[in-house]
Amino acid sequence: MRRGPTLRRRIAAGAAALAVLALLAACRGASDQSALEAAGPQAGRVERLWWFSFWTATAVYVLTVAALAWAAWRARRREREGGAQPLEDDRGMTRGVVAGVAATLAVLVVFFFYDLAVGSALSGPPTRAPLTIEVTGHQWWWEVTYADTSPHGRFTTANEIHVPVGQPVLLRLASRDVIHSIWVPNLAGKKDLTPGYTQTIWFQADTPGVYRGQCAEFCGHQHAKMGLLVIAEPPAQFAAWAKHSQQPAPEPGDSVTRRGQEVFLTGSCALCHAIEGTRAQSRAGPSLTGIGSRRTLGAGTLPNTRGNLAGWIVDPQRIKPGTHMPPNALAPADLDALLTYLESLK
Amino acid sequence: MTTSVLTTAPLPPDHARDAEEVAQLERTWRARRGLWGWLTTVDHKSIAIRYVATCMVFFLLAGANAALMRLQLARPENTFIGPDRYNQLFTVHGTGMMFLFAVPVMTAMALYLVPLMVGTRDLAYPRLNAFGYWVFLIGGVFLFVSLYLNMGPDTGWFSYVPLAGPEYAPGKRVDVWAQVVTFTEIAALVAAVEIIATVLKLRAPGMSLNRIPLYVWSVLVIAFMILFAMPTVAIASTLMLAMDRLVATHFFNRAEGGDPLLWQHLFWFFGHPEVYIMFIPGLGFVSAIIETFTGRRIFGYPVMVLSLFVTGFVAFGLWVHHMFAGPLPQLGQSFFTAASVFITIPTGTQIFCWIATIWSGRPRYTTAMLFALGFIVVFVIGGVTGVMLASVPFDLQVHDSYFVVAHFHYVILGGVVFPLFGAFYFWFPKMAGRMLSERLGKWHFWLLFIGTNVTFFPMHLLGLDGMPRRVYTYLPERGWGELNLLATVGSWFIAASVVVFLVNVLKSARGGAVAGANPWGAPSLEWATTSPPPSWNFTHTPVVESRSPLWEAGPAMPVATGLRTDRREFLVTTALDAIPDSRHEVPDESIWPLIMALAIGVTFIGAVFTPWAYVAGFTLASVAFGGWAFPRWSKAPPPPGRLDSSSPAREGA
Amino acid sequence: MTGRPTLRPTVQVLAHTVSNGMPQAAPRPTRAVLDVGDTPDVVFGVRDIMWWGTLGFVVIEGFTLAVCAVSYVYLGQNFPSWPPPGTRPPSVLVPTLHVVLMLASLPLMRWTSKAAHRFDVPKVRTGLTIATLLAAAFIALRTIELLDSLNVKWDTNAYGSAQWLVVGSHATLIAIEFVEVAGMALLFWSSRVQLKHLADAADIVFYWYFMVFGWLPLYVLCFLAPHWV
Repeated sequence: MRRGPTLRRRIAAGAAALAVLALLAACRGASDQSALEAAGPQAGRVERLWWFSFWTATAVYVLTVAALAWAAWRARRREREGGAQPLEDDRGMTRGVVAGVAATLAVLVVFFFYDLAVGSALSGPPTRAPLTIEVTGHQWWWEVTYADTSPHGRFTTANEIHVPVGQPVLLRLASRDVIHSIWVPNLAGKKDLTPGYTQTIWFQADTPGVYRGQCAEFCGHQHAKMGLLVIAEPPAQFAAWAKHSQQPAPEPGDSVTRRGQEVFLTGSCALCHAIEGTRAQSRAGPSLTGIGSRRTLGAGTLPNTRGNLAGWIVDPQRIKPGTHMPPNALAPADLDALLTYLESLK
Repeated sequence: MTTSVLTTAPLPPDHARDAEEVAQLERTWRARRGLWGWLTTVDHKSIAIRYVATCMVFFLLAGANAALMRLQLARPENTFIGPDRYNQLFTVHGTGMMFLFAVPVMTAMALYLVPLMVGTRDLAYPRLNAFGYWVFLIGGVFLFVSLYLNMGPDTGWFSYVPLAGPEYAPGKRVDVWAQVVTFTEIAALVAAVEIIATVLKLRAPGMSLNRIPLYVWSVLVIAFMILFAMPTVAIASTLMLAMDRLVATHFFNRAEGGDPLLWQHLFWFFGHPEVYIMFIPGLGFVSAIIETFTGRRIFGYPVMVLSLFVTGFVAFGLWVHHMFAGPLPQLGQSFFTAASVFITIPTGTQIFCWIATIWSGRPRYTTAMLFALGFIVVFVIGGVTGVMLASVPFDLQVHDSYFVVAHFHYVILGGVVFPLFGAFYFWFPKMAGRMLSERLGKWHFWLLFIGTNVTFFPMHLLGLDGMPRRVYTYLPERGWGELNLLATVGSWFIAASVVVFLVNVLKSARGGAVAGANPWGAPSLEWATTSPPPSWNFTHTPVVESRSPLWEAGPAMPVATGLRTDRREFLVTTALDAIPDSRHEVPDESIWPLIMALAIGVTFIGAVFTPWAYVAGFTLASVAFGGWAFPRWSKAPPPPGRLDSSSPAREGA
Repeated sequence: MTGRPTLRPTVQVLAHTVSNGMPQAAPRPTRAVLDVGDTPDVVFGVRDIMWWGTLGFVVIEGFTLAVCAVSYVYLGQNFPSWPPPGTRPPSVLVPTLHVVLMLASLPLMRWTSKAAHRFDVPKVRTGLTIATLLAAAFIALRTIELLDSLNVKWDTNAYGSAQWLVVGSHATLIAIEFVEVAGMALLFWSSRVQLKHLADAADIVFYWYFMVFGWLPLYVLCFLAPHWV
């Protein structure tokens, strides 16, 4: 017969557990896409709730396993000492079980009410007038429209959401095809984008920075590469960016750029992509107005460099297999001009 | 009609008469040999053993999917598996594990154990039982063959619309999924009906409700749950989703008034109870094992039974916690949070009762006991993260992330797989007549324990650090590479543990130490008969006088005489107090369950391609029904001067 | 009984035989305390194990119909009116005829069941034969209800899909009952009918009750409610 858990064994188990936690703490993910690096009050509240839950859960778990080990040890001791087998102590055991259940219930009740408080704090509407942004999910990119009452104020971009620091931002969520879910963990929990429904979520970024998010509802082939950036900047900077974005795209300044624009408008690009100020107005794919100043391509998949852009245009299927953009065979001079044109769209 | 008669004095044992009875039973219950015998058997033990083995094969296949997934995720931007194949792999992993392993293996174990534990000769409907197995087999083969033909479903085991609808999932992959659900749902409902009828009406005389073993209570609870959960998913997938795709109904088509949310409600109304259906029998296994290996009854029997029922009932009130991120009114969400938080109380109560049992007993640490204890150590981690997930704000952060993957693998491995392996070590001697190696068993346990923790613990952090679920790859800058690699290494430990188990089974099936009737000194009725039991289970129907019959009965077991040995029959008793009430003839071997299953197979596999399959299928099924129900004269005439159920019904009788 | 598992010699021997290599332990000798030789083997209703199978089917199918009905109501909230504008409401003539016929069948089925309890083979035979004809009529009426009375096709809109779901699901009950009743009637006309089939005939009546009573609320939901909402 095997011996039951001994003291040495328990110490070894505890040490192993600590080592594991230390190891895990060293293997953290990047801090720009984490629920444990809150950059705003919404994520902050949840992060605090998490730590409370973590420590409470750890205590409950350790106590439970310790109780089990203790029970086994006591039984072993009684057997060695030749005590009653089994021990008849219904009253004592009943009291033990009742105490355990009562303690569990107490912990759960505390957790439940704390959670309700957090939930109610988070579910209220924004305290000040929020900046409203419409986000529409597509397979596999994010359409971002800055709503404004005036027709000149509205503008659309893709895969990047600029927000002013310290101001509430309200996202109106919709989907053009299947269910997606927007999740920027540094800032807030997620919300689904369900076709046929409009949902809203609001958050506030208190620390300037670039925060990454990803689609969190399986939406097909390239669900894994449907990322987005939330760029939180000081209000003045944001206002300048917004004002600039309301302008149509700059006209080409030189012949190469002009040629690039021609390649864009006469080729297949304009069938799916819009550029404000040109006759390309299709909403099938992401708007390319301002693509020159976007940080990533392919919804957060690649850094926006000339080389990456070239690779993407020529064969997006190699980077995001299954994406709806087809490959484009272009003559090298045409490709070069196109790249120059797109880079000029800042 | 007269009821049973208590003899005034116990008859003295008569070995000559007993031997003759056994010989007669041998003749009456003899199984047919060869392939035909294998195809036509209605013996619940043969069917259940092959059912369990089939489930383990699906476990291996779905597990192989997981191993491949883990290889792909071990490095960022890995090119081992592309998105299309990966989406099929994870969908079939989930579908296979949930529909073809976790629930059916639990029902299959029940189909083996319940008649033995309640002291009867077979399940209530032996041919129906055979039918259930064949339908299950067809469904499972259909799923994996589709995967290997690159036609595997690829929209997740939960198959959300509109992604799984006709517009965004062209082809037949999702139709395959929808019909696999049909097959497994039919099999589960069959098992549920068998369990309920057997437990309520076929218990040995004297086994009143308060003497039913805790394991039997646990499977009775899930049988009731299956009756309500399975039809819901069948309507959603077999009817609504399949019809939307096949004949252009609009259940989920927003443009014509349909609603993608309807799918989520129906699926999760099934899906949440489904996980409790997998888990509650595990609680039953743990009770049976701890009872035996502490040498005392489980403390707090009434509370243990009540906990099972409360858990099963409350499980139907949690489903919206899978939909917190969706467009539902916030008002109702708190109700589901409360239910999801407080459902832990009954399970917690059970854990405390087990601890009390161990404290007051004399624990023996066999492999089965290790797995039962391992359940507590592993499952509670999943349990506490489950409580966290009940919180709406927290869930909105980690929903659909690797945190959830960690949570449910802890509760499934801890709450389903650990008890299941414990059950294998415990009951393999009864099923095979041989002991599994304890040495290999210990290796199996520790490899699985280490593997489980190394694979899934890091995933909690991955989820908190932003890694979503169902992604075939991730960017290197995310910093998720190390923990994913660690999880992959952990998965090799799990695989190793399974290999050790298989080696143990293969070695022990022929070469293991011979097991006697009761090698563990356990208290319940299945240990009163030989290992393995004869086709007729018990030579004489046991009479039960306590909750732990083999511990309380004394040197000779009380039994009931009077069942005929010249034809197959079992005793039917009253539902509450198990008073003998009538008897029922048990059918012989039959090929019709297989034929009926094939008709069902034609129907629902055909329905992937054309709605006319339903017409053809219904016709075939009616023919099979005719064959199944066609009356055969019993080979044994009734006792002289009496009629029995198979006597011709003449006019003016 | 205190519940304390006292160690008997046989159990004690076994209790020490764990892990590898234990001695053969045969099942314990038995002592007969009860004789069940006089229990009957044809019983009805709750006493009959086959009845419990029918009950299981009733619960499963009943819950299925309930979920279909709930889905029907759920989809209703997506429309400003029910049926939606542009879709005609169902006609009630044939459905009401159908319901009346179903209700009229109940006394006959009750009579058949009572005859079965009394082992009256000719009466049961008559009852089952008439029931077969009735079930065939139900099938015909249900076909008309689906193809004509509903006034909508399953692929027109979600309203049509929901109607076909509820009415169609119940139709499968009628189809199954027809096969059972026809098969049983045939059996009662043959010489192969056995005593146990009288209990099965009573079971069929039980299922018939479920088929009828399960339909009544659905008839209201599918054929009457669209006129009131």
